[in-house]
Amino acid sequence: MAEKKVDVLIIGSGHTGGLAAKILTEKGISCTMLDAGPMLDFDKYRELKPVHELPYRGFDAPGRLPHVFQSSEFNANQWVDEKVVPYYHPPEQPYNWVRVRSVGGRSPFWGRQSFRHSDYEFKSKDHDGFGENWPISAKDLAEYYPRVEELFRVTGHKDGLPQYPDGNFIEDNSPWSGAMQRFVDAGKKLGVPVTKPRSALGKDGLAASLNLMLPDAVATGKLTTIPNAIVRQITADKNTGLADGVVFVDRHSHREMVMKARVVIVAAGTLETTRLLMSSEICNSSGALGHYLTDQIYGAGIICSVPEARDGKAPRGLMGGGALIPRFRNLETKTNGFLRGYAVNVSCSNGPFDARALPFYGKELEQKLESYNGSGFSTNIMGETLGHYENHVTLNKQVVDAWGMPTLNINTKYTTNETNMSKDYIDTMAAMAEAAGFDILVKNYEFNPPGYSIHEQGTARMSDDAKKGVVNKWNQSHDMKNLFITDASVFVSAGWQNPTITMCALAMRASEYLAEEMRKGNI
Amino acid sequence: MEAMARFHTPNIPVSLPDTVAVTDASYFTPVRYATLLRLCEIFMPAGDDYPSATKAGASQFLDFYIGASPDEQQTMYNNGLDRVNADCMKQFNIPFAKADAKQVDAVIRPHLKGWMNDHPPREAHVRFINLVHRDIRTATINSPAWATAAEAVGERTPGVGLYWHPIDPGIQTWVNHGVAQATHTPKQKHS
Repeated sequence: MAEKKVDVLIIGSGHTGGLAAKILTEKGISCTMLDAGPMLDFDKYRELKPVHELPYRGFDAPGRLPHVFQSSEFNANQWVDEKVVPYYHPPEQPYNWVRVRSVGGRSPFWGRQSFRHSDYEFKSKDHDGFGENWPISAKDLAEYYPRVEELFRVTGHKDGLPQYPDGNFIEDNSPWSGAMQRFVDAGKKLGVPVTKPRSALGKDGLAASLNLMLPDAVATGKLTTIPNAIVRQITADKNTGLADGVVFVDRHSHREMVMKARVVIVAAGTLETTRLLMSSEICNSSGALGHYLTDQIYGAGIICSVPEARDGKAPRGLMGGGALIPRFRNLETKTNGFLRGYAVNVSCSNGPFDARALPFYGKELEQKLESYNGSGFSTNIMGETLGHYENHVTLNKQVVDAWGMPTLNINTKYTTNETNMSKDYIDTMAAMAEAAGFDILVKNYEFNPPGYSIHEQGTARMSDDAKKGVVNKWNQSHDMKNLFITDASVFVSAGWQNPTITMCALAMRASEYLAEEMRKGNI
Repeated sequence: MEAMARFHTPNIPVSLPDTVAVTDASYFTPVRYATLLRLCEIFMPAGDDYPSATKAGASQFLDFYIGASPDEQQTMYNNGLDRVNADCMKQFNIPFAKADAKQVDAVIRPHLKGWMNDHPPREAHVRFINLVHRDIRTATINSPAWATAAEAVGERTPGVGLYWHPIDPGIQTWVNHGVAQATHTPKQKHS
C-alpha cells in the first residue's frame, strides 16, 4: 500500500484531542486521530446490575487497581490495569496514576466542574515568588473561554470575584437550601465566599469529546479515527529536525505500523504525552521535560449532621444542594504556613447518612442511621500543590508495558505546604460548620496521594524561554515547530481549578493558531 | 452461516450459585474464623426484615475474599482477629467467640471511630476494627440474601449500579502480557 502523509495527526481523543479535531476539520484541514484504546459502545459494554450479582459483592477483585481509589466493582473495567501498563514510584512516595484507554479518553468520566483560571494562576510568580509565570494571561484566553463554556453548556452564577472569573453561563439562580444558607452566612463572617457550583451540563447526560466535539469533526468528512493504535514513537525527519510521523502498534495483533504526517498534535494526557516524548527522545532541549509535575490535593474533609434535619424532621427546603468555595487565601493578604490556596466542594445531602461517620455498631448503629439519614453535610478540598522541579518522571527502559513501551518512574511528594494548607482548610470549615449550628462528626486532615485528583499537570510546561519550557505560548514545541501539545502537561502551575476548561481553551487557541500558520505556509 | 448469525439466545433463566451452595471457610484458622463469626453476629444482627451478617454468609465470603487478597490485607486481618481474641482473654479470660454482649462491647467499643472515605484511622488495631466493621456491613448488605429479603418486603432491588463490562480486551495483551508486574501500593496507604 502506498505510504500516505496525513495533514494533521492527533494522538489521543480526549477533550483536547477532540477539540483540536473539531477546530481543524471545521477549517477544512484533514485530521487523523489515533487512540490507544478501543471504541466505546455504551450499549454493548454497560448495563444496570444489582451489586449482589457481581462476583465480589461490590468489593472488586482482590488486589486489582490498588492505585485507583475511584474504582469499584461496577466501574473497574473502565480503568487502565497497571499490570498491563505498569509504572513505578518509590514505596515511600505513592502516586495514583488513574488512566482510561478508550476513544474519548477520560472525557466520559470527568467530574464536570468547570472553572476558569485567573491571573492569580497565570501570574502566580509575580504574586508570591514561587515557580514561573505562564507566558499568557487571562486576557489571552478571553476569546476562547466563552466558546468552550458554550460548547460544554456550563451552568453557574456570576459572582464578580477576581479569583473566580465569571463566564458564559447558563444562569443558576436557584435559592440556597436553609442549611446551605446558614453555611453561606457563616462564611461571610469569616470572609469566606460560598458560591454556586459551576458545572458542564453537556448533552444527553454526557460532556465528553465523544458527543460534544467528535461528531462535529466527523460531520466535516475530514476526520479519520483509528482506535487501538498505541503510538510507540514520534519520528523526526533527519534533515529538517521536524516531526514527520509516528510508529504505532495495533493493540490486538501487536503489528507495528508506520505513519507519516505534516503536523503532529500530542493530546495523550499529561503523563502519557511526556512518556511518549521521552520514548521518542524529542522535545527536551530545555531539560524541563518530565519536571514540575503537579496536581491538587483531595480527600481531606469534614462530615457533619444538621440537627434540625434528624429523625425525619427536616422542614421542606432545609436540606440539599451543593456549593463551591473558591480560593480565598493568599489573595490580598498572606496566610502563614503555605503558598497559594484551596477551593472547597460543599455538599448538603437529603440521602442516606454514611455509616462510617458514626462510631456505633449493631442495632444501635441502625437506630443512629435512621435518625441521621437526610441530615448530612460535608466538605472536600481541592488544594493547589506546588510544582517543584524535583517532582518529576523518568523513563524506565528496563520495565516495558504490554506493547513493549518503556514505562515511567514517578517521583513526587507533597510537602509541608500541602499539610499546612489542609490544616487551615479543616479548621476553617469546622469553624464555619460550628457557626452554622451543625454537629461535626468527623474531621479528616489527611489527604490522598498525588495523582488521586486525576488532575496531573506539568512535565512539558509552556514558556517563552526555550531553555525553561517545552512548548511556547501557542502550545507549540520549541524544538519542533510542527509539533503541538494540547493537554495539561503544558500547565505551568496547577491552580485550585479543575483543569478541563482551561485545557480546552488552550487547545482551541492552539488549533486556531496552527490552522492560520498552515494557511500562511509557515508550518 | 447466515441462519446462525440470525439466531437469538433463548430465554433461559439463570441463578446465582449462592442460592444452591455455600463456601466452606478455609483461609482463617479455626480460632480466627470463630472470632470473625462473632464479629459478624454483633456488628450486624438480623433486622426486622433483613438477614443478619451470619445468615447472609458474610463470614464465609470474607474468608474467601481475604484469602485471595494481597499480603498486607491478610496480615491486617490476621493480626486484628488475634488482637481481638487476646484482648478478650486478657479482660475476661474467655475467647471472643464465646464472649457475651457486654464483654464483646468492652473489647470493641473503645476502638470505634468515625471516619470518612479512603481515610480509616491510622492506628493499626483501630484501623482493623473499623475496616472489618465496614467489610462485614458491605458483605451483608450486598449479599444475595439481603436482596431476596428486600424483594420479599416489596422494596426495590438494592444496590443497582451501572456496570461496565470489560471493554474489548486486547487478545494478545491478555494472552501474552497480562502478567506484567507493577509496584503495588496498598489502597489504604497514604501520603
